[in-house]
Amino acid sequence: MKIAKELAKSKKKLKNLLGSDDVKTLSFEVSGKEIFLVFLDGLTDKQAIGRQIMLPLKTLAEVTLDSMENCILEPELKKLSSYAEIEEAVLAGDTVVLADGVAGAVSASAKMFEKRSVAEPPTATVLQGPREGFVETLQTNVGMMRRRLKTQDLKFEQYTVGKYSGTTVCVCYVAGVVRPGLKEKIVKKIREIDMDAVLDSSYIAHFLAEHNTSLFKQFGTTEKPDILAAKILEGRVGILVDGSPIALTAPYILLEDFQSAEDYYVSRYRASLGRVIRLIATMISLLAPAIFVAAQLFHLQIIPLTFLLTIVNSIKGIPLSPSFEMFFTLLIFEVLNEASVRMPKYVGMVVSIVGGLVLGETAVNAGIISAPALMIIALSGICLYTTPELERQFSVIRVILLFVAGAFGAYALLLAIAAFFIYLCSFENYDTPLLAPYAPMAPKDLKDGFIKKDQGDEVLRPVTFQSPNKVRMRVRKEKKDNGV
Amino acid sequence: MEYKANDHFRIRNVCLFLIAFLPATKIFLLPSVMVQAARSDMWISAALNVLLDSLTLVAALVLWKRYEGRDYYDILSMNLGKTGANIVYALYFLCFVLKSYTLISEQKLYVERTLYENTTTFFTFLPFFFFCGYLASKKLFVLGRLADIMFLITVASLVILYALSFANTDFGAVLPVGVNGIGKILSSSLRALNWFGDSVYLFFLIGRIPPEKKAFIKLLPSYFFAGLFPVICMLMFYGTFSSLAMRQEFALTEIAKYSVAINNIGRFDYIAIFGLLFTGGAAMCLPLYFATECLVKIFGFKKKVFVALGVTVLIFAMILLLKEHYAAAIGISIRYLAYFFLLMSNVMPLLSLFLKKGAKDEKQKDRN
Repeated sequence: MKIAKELAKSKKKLKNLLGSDDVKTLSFEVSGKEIFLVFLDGLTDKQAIGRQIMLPLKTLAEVTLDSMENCILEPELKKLSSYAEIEEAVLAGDTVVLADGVAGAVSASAKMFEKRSVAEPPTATVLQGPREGFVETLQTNVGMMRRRLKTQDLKFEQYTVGKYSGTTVCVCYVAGVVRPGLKEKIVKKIREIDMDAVLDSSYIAHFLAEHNTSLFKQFGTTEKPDILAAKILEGRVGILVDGSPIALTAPYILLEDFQSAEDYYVSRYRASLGRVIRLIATMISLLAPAIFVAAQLFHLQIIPLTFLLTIVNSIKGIPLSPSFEMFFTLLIFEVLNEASVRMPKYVGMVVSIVGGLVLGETAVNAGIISAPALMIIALSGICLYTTPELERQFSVIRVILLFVAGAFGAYALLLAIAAFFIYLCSFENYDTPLLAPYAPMAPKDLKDGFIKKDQGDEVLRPVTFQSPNKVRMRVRKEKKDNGV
Repeated sequence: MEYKANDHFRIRNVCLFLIAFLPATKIFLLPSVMVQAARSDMWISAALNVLLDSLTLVAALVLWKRYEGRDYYDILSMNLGKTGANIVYALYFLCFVLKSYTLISEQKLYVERTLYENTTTFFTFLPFFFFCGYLASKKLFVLGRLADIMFLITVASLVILYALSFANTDFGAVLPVGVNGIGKILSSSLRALNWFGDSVYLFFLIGRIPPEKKAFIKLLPSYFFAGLFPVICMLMFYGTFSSLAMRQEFALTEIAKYSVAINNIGRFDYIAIFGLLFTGGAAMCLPLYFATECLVKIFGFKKKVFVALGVTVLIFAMILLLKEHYAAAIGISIRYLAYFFLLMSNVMPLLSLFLKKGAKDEKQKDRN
């Protein structure tokens, strides 16, 4: 509906549209005409409204839409013609100016709200490399990305999602580097989202996923702008959501969760060692409880004799069967894990001391669980956090493998692992294999695999992401001086 | 014909496929089967089988070049008509089911006798059938990707096993070469046909392999590299046990256990054995996988998963019903079915070389 010339009509209409106590209005007269301001309390900078909107307006000799727009001292101004536009602007935190006898309005962005300052994200701390992390404010995050990639090819496309939340979802990519059709596919899915509210990026991840029932995640996540910049330069698409410090990236491959940001800032030998350790730790965390149970129940011959004697001594008098004992210990571990994450920081410390030391020690001394079982679960738990991004998926797989090993033994465990491999091999999201570059093998991409090559050797972009712009660096080789 | 980006095999995939799966099925029971006939010359028999299969591989490659982009069913349909193609595929279905019976039974026996000594029940092997059905229901590209990962495990496991048993192997035991006579060597080769003949799988892949240069040069060395492992296994098996080899049943767990390292540290050769069981599990499912493919082609089923389920239930029933008659069944397979396997895995592929109707060159000639 078009904005009426009569201010009284507009006031009435806006009262109906924006009837809430946090919507503030203000009227004053300039050159015999009433000027009316509408804004939201808590989202606007009142000093800026006074200084940059009201003061200049009071100097006007003639009140028209153009004169109002010209005199307001704000960089982000917009002419509005309908009440719907006014509603949208006010709810977004803009200040809207209307005047009697003027069929239109001007919105000025004088936003100010409380926001967290940029800090190192707790989930991705590094010893070496940038420490900046994303915050909950989209504009700040966009700015951080722009600061890293000063190119016109870096594109941001914003969409509003959420019937009630009206959340801004921002798709970012590097034009010419991203695979043709990928961004469009993601944008199409974003446009199709119809839900009440998007309160975090994980809300939309579910809608953008190609396999909704999958156990494995289908989006990469990062809280660091340097990582997002590196990922979109490989041909991925980044998704930032207003109100969430976690950016999503697609397509996702499993290997990226074994790569750490620090790998690119330290020597390749250290990076390779770190990645191999993460892989081994993941295997230990998944398999150690299951193998221990299978060995105890079905395959004592695979345990070396001296180790077997140690186990026999420690399990003497334990009332629980090996598999039930392991399930019980794992359950205690998961409970402690849940409790320590959700509890206040200071109580959390107490929980870990009580849980880890007192409960564990007492359970072993009381003969409820054996020391090796406790040790294996503790080791498995610690190892799982070497790849924190995969912790949720792998903790579920650990339980499945433990069940299979307890019920059928090591052979079934092998088959279960093989079945997981088959599942992973068949898994693709956005036409990218999850196990790339190992299955299908892309020899060129192995330079950034578990054994990392020197940064200077990674001349080409990963073929896995099918970027049309294949070269990412040109290495000038000096002519060898043969000393002649 | 268009090759979908995610649904085809590259020549590299085929090379790794051969390395990953070919040796994994030939080191469980096969050495003890071959030693019965050829004794110290069992390795020559194995080498003959590898050579025989290389002819099948060459035949598959020739057909692949000749009918670029066409699958084997299309080629047969063009030359023998739809009915002819269906008959050939039905024969292959039968061949693969019979092959898988021996392979899966052998795996079952191995698992029960060496891994579940104290708790042997059919229940312990039951998960294999779930795994089998699951793999058989997957698309072909999954096999290629699986091979990309599994070839490393196969090679590493075999190298560990061979390295452990190397010191205890008396290679002089296989001398003089050919002492058992050509008849026994050939008889041993014939007995082994149930386990060999993997090259025939290539006929079911040819429609999915996009044209590539130097395919022969890449494939043949890979094939011979893969084929080398069973031959070495036979050599080491006889070299380790000599005349006692006749009494050994499962070479895999036997050849490495006398290593000094194992005496000192414990049986860490089980890591390699588990590695081979891991890849072997998938390799044993291959005949069932291709049996499913045959049925899908013959009847044009849309939902492969149900066909895979049906074929798995069939083999499960066969193994369950013949549980007590395994020795007799394998005896029949070795003595009588070997000729059928020879026909399907080696003769039929060579006869396929006479198929020319609708070939790429012929089309070009017609156009000219």
